[in-house]
Amino acid sequence: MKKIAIYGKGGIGKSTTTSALSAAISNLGYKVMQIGCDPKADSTINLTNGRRVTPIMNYLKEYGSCSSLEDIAIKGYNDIVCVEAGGPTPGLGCAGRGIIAAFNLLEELHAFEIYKPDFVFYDVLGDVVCGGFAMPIREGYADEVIIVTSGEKMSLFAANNIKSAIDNFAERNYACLRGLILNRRNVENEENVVHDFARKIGAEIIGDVPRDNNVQLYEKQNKTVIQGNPDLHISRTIMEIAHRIVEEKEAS
Amino acid sequence: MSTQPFYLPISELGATGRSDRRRVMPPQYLHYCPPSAGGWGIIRVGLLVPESVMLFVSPAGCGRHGAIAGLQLGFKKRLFFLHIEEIDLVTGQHLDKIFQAADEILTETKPRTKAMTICATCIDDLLGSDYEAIARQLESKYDIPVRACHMNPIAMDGKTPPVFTIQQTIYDFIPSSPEKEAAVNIIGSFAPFAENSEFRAVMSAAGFKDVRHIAACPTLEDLTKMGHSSHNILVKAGGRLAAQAMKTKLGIPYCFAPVAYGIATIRQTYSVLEEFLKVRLDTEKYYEEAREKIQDYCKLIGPLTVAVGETANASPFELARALIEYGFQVPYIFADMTMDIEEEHITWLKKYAPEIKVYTNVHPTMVDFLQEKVTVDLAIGFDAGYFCSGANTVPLLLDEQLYGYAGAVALLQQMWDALENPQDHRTQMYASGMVI
Amino acid sequence: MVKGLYKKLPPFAPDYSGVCSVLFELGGLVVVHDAGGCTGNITCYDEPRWYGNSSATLSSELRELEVVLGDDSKVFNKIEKAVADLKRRFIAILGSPAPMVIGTDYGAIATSLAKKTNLPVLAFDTNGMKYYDEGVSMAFLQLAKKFTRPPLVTKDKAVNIIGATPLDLGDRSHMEELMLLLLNAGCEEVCCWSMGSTLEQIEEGAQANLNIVVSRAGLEGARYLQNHYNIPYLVGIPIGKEETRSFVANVRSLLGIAHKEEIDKKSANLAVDKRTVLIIGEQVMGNSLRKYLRREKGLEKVTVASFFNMDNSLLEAGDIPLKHEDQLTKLIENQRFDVIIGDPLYQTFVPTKDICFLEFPHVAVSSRLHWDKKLEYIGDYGSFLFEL
Repeated sequence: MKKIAIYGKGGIGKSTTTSALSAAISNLGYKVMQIGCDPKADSTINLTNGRRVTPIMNYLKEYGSCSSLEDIAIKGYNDIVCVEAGGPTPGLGCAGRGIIAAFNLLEELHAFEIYKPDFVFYDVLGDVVCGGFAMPIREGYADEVIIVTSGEKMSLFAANNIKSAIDNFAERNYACLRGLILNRRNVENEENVVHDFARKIGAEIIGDVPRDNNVQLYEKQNKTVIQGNPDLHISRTIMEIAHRIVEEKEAS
Repeated sequence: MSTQPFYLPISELGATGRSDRRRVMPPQYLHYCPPSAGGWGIIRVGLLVPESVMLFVSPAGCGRHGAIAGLQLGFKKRLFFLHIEEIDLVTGQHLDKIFQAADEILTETKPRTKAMTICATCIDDLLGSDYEAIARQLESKYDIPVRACHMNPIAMDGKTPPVFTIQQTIYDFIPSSPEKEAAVNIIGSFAPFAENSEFRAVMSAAGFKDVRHIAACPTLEDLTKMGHSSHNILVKAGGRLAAQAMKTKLGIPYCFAPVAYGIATIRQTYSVLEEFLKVRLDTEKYYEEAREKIQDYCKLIGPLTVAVGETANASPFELARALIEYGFQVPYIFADMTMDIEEEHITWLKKYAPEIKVYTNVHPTMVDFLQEKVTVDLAIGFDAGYFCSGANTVPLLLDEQLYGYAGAVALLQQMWDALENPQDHRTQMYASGMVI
Repeated sequence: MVKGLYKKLPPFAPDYSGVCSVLFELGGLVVVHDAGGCTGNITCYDEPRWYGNSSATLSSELRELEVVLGDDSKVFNKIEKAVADLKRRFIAILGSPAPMVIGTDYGAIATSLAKKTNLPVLAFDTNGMKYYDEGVSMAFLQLAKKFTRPPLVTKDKAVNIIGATPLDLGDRSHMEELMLLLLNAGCEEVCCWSMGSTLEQIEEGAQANLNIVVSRAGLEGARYLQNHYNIPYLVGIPIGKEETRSFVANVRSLLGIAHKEEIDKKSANLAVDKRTVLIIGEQVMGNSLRKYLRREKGLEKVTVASFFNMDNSLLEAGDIPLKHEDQLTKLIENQRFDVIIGDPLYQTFVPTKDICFLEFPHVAVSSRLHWDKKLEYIGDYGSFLFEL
């Protein structure tokens, strides 16, 4: 099992990219699980054909405890297991802590032992890196982190914060940085800016995803581009990233 | 201002909650903390690890009861506090200070510390601070075993409440050993079996050369020997997580053989042990001996009224049943938790003593309980003694572990002593150093 | 040495214990918003009056999920049920570390609770990181603000004692002694807030003519009453014959009671004792002991040090606010005092037998370890306090 946390600034296209990667890897014949770690709880919406999975925090809020995985996970496209951590009532509680509670529950319910996924993706909001949001990179959770960024300043700022968090925890056997995915917003000189940034933080760019209106087109149908049309240029780009991830796993 | 205190007639006991631990108090009530509440507390249990120190990292208030108890009972010398301030919460810098504090403690403490526990509290739980990772870092730096533990009552209703996890932590200091020998570990109690218990003799006759207990290990090296034992016997429910973890990590199977005071229940427990250990245990003569002694004591004491509490080292329901079987009257039980294993005794009590009132120590109406002026001749447990003021109290503390037939006899002897030499309840209770 | 590392001393009584101590005798429903452990600190270790009492200090039994979700509905529900069962006169809700993490707004909770229950509700933003004296101070101030009524009539020769809690003053006999002393001095009515008084008496507090402040934590409340009702206050505890005489004279003159000026011959003839003294403790108690030592023992060089807040107006040059344990270690090592007075737990910091250590238990420090020890110090008894 390989577990990868995908971080990035809110609104940068993390969930879109993560879902597309999940779909792509499942197309290669692997079992995939995707866990949304954003209080918005919409990470997996394009994998479930629009069916809403009950976020763990919502479930706990209503019932106090949970004894069955079926209450908080659904199988979407290609049997990808979709889970959302969810979050507290806006303005109250602690969203980071919510992620911890969600992870603890998945562990208690033996989610990984039961679903036996080959790949697990954590889709994590990366604007804030408090204790809870760092949970997915702890030992025993993700092995690697991929940061999704555009060439926009705020996006790179968030990426830098995430990198700092990873470095701070270097001694603790936490996840290491696998690389960046450039998700283009077509800002000026984007490729150079992001390449410079990658060099500065010593990270590899493992994918360069073009801006493509087809993403929005299929999102309206609650699909990823991979499910929508695997022959598109953007779909092929994502398949290439998927191949790299899979090959590395097989090699190790 | 007085209100009728909440209670359930035993016939109606079937409280709500999780399947393994049910509460007598209905859900959603404020919680009363009588002066008699408490037990060993996380700190004292954590310090059962021989030759170890504990660094307790928390807001100043959290460690107060443990520290005072430590001064009272003599373990404060091995206990250090690192106070978290408000700014630390935002910056997380208290986690860095742990390394400096540990350094200071480990280099200065004489004799040299052989193991360390770092204790976190509710607040770091909520912040998601990773104490386990810190423990691993310290362990590799100082080359001594270091473990994290949690005094986090905020997690009390979950599957891993602190009273369970602390026991898991202390036994986690035992390294795995492939070599096993015919010996048993006693898990779940804080004290080894009292000297007078027949248990050691019974085990020895059955070929088990040692009966091991963490509190009987003067050194860390002695503790590691527990990893060589072939069997674990869990005698109190609080050690269940620990026993499960030891089964997985150390390959030691366990069997639940809870402390009991009813002579028939004890006999049944021995037969469970026979099955588990796959040996015959020769206990008949101890049974006969105990039966006679118990009869003698019962004649001596007479058919008195006895209230049973949950701070006693017993299952209050099993204890009440035992006392009734011996001829006493039990009008009141003070208990808030019922466990699956107590079901059989509760059913028995429903049938044979349906007039028992079960009070919970924690219901808010208990603040006015003393105005009820409830009286009994004897109370077992500080809580029962507190609420039935004036009763001669047998503390039956966790500090001494009665077990087996001799344990039942010792209980009756202590009841007789309490009648003969009554003690001041307040003095006796405060001296015991119980903490919440 | 790491700041905040305590190797010898136990953690001191926290702020929530201070609040509860002030409210203990007043017949309220006091709710500590905690998981249970903090309440256990208060009831079993910081409240000597807990045994055998029916004061309603209860825990909200806060659980992880409520904090994570910021779900306040449960605590409201629990409090409303308790109000129905226990019929208390007011509610107080106070904080602990866990709800602080998510910035719980106790003021807002109090406002809603007051609407739901029609009872006065006090809110205290305590967090277990500050010490008891801050809680005591908050609570006395709140009592003054929330419960004292503007006086329609003024009493004559009525006195409040403000700042007394067992955490500082131990056994209630000390305050009873002080009350007796004031009555003998000519006061007609003496009300010791929170130790031997009812809420009704505190409601009439603004009718008093003088406030006696017996701890630093009583100052804020007394200052409020001075600013709002022009009631003067006098800070200090009369220890020993000589100091008691001055104290009584002061009280009488502030209340307009006629008294004879007595000339103090004894102190004029007292030989100066050159030994240096360190008092470690609460500031007002420390200052009062200092006055007594100067007046009756001829000890001039007396320094007061405290781990608890010290008010600037009560500081003497050289007094020392202590922040961390190592500061006390260094102070004692470097300054070589001849005499040290303080809670018995400070004795472990005294390295040699050449230093005379005198025990003066402080419940906020050593809790139940010494709270039953009898030590008479109020009034004339104080003269026999120390063998020096």
